[in-house]
Amino acid sequence: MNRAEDADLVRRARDGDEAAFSDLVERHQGRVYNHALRMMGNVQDAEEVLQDTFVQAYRNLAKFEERSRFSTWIYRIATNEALMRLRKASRKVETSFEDLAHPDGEAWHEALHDFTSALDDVQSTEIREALEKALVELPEEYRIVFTLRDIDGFTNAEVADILEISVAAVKSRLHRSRLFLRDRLAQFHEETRTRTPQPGKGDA
Amino acid sequence: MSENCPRQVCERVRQLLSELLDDELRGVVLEEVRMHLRDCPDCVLEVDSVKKTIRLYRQCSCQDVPVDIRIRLQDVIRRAREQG
Repeated sequence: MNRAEDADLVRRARDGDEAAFSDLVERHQGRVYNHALRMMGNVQDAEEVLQDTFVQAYRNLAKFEERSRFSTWIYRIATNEALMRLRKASRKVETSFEDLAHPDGEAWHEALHDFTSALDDVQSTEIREALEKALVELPEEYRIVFTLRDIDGFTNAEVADILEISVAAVKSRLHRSRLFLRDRLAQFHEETRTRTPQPGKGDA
Repeated sequence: MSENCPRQVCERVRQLLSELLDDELRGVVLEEVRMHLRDCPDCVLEVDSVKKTIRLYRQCSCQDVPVDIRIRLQDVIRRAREQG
């Protein structure tokens, strides 16, 4: 996303050029929608976040400081909109990292090896559900950091700016999120594998 | 955990795993981690599995905005303009 082009569109939109704001929407709606979808976990809520984000952006365009990137600014609005809804609905995920202590031992090691090999050859429809399920289980303050950093591609400093937290906090949450998601996906994989009859086994 | 590796070294490498993946390790620490990974298949697996997990999320996590949602978004913005 070209920063200079965004800045030019913002200036024109502030001067009343409606087409310029439409261009900003066109350029950023995909990333905002996907971010909202990952945060909210369903299309209906994601659409509400998408709409309110751009309405807020339209109304507050005069407050946008040009030293920032428009994409960072719009993500901050979207994140706040999503968090507000999640907290209002008390949809906090109760999972804690203490409940999900990093597994160890021989059986886990074998499962992890099998999972890692399987990742080279996955069916996207099959894995997509597991990815979404694992992501939704992450506590929201961790989920946001992971999605912004590892999926949307913002830098640690940009994520810190969007969420108004320290870079050290971003790094810490990111590390724990990555391990959590890897562990949950490996567990899902192991559960699927043990449910599926293996050739030559159990044929009496 | 490989039999020949001191547990605390593997633990340390795992703590540094994200920084390794993000190319943020430098100097002596980076060299220590690299040396350990040459001898510890379990830590290699640890790094590899997290790297592939991230890659998978990047590959599978982007959807186009459905046309009906795009149209409704345009309507909402138009109404916001009309309201001033």
